[in-house]
Amino acid sequence: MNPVTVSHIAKSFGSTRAVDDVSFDVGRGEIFGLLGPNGAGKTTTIRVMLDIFKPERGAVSILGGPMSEEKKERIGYMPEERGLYQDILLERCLVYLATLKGLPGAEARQRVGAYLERFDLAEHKGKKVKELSKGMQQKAQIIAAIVHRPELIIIDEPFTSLDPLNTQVVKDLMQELRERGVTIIMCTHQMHQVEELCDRILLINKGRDVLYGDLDEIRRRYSGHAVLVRAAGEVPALPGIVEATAPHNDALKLTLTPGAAPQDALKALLAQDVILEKFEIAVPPLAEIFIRVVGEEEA
Amino acid sequence: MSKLLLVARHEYRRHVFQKQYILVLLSLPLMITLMFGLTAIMIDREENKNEVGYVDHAGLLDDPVPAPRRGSTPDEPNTPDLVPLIPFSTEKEARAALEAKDIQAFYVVTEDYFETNLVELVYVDAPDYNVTRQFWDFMQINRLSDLPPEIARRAVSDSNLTVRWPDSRREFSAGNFLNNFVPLIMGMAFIMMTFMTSGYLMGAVVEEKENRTMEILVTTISPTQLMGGKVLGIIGVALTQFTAWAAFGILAVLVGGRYLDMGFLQNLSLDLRIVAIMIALAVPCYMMYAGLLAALGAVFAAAQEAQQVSGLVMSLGLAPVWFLMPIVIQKPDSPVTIGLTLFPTTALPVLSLRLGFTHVPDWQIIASIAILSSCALGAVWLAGRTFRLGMLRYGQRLNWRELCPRTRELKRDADSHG
Repeated sequence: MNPVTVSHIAKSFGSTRAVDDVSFDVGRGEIFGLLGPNGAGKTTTIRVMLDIFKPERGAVSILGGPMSEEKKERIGYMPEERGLYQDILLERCLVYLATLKGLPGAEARQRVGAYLERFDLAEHKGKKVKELSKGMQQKAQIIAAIVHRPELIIIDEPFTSLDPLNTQVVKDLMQELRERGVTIIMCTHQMHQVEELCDRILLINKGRDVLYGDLDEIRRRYSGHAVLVRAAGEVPALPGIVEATAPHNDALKLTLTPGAAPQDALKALLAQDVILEKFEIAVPPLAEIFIRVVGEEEA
Repeated sequence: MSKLLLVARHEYRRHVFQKQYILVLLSLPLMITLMFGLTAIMIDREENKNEVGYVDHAGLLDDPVPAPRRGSTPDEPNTPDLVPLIPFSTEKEARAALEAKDIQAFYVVTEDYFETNLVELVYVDAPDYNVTRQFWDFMQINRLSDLPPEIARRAVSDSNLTVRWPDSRREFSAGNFLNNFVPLIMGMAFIMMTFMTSGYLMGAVVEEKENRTMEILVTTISPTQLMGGKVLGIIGVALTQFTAWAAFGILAVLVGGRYLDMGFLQNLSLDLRIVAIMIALAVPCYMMYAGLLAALGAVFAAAQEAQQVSGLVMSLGLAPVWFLMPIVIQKPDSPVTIGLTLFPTTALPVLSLRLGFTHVPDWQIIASIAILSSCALGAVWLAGRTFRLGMLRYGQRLNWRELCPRTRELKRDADSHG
């Protein structure tokens, strides 16, 4: 059974339809990207999933059924609108939030201490939260979302305010959690992070799901009729197979003629004894797919 | 520990271990101590403890009986120590002593005193009331010296009127008049406590909206646990304040009554029935205001905005008492007074006044507690509702019409058809 199943949910605020019709499943141990332009309905979808808002239509199953008080302890959440108690000490703040998630006091202190070490915040544990930098507060938020070892983590823009070093720490942590079987739903506008981390994605626009599925499969689906080639020498012209050539990073992008398959190009190159260093089907970056899909929707 | 208690403990610690709270906690006792201390110093400086002389031309005080010390009977509070009364043979001697400032004044009992009752007082600065009263007692006891001493003493002491209710549950007398102020003092303390601490709850709700911790909290515990924990924590804060003030009050009574010999602080006793009624009124009153202020906290987006409105709400709640207090005092059984007794925002102050000085029928007390309790439950319900609707309205005020389920349904229908 999937940890998360969302079926045709809808939610309005006054005359604004925030979510019109959104459905998706998230499997155990996967990192799932929930994407969309600003105002697409991502936050509302998450809030409906977490039972903060009741949907007007549709159903949500979390960890095997409807949301309950008991399940709140099995979920970690870092919302978009985030914050911590500004006037209390960092360690006390995190221990309080951890105990609310069901951890005994001593264990909460021990785990918070370990995460503070890992995130290089141990020397700041005696400071008030308001005295910390934005990046430090962001790391503290991440600790608050994972300290109780949840089965499901919903995390909104986890890399905001983080420097490259800390971004890597968070990415390593997410991959480590995935290996332990934790399900992660991640909202972000940083498409390269999605490409690096996510197994599957859902793209929402104007409250509706417009693109959903396995990330590699989606990228292949949106790939142009082209291959990327890098050779030891010069790449020869392939009349009848390649209609255009253009540089693409450290390779050449060969646009195939209608009717030609990538295999035809490979065979032709090998027939001419070209020493290939790279040959792959050209797939567009996720950012390009995002812009194309949302652009088509807007049009 | 349950989540509700965790929230309660967190709220309690957040407020009680703050410099601002400790300052508020100590401010009232310090202010009262300072006030009493300054008054005592001023009285002490003004009080003239010099001897008082007398010249007896009538022969009444040839072999004088000493003036009785007031407070020597259980019915009477003590008065300050007696000023020594010194006899002088002639007015000339007495005047010389006055000019030398050996005495503060002297009395002259005229020769025809038994016919005219005339006594002259000679002074530079008028002696205070205690001196004249002491000399008056001295004269009286000596005029009655033919009578047995206990009869003379009783005749000199004032009448002591005790008013007792037919059911013998209440009585009022000069000897223990401060007992009648106990409900009023308790009522005022409860109201002050409500004013000062129930706003914390509103502050806590607004603050969690402002600092964006609300969304994490509501996905961690239920709104009921969150609000319940907050209310418990704030009640703990209020009780700490009340206990500290009560302890200070008891200490003041003990020190004042036993060691400083302040008569009005002696013979104090607590009527447990009155105390129970006051607590039964104060708890729902506190809950009602706490609920209303928590609702305000959920409605408004900024703490400053909510605090301004909260002050207005509490002042409006007590406004009828200020305007109609003369009627309550002059006609304690009038329909207006009964109305104010039953009205939830005025029940506590009006009953605390009436319970001290009049007999309040049981039905009025029971009805008042019942109405106040219902309103408290209503306010808590309203707080829960506004909290649920307004908790994630960051930077945006909740419209009062949105609190009504019917209005929301109509609005949604209109939107979906529009």
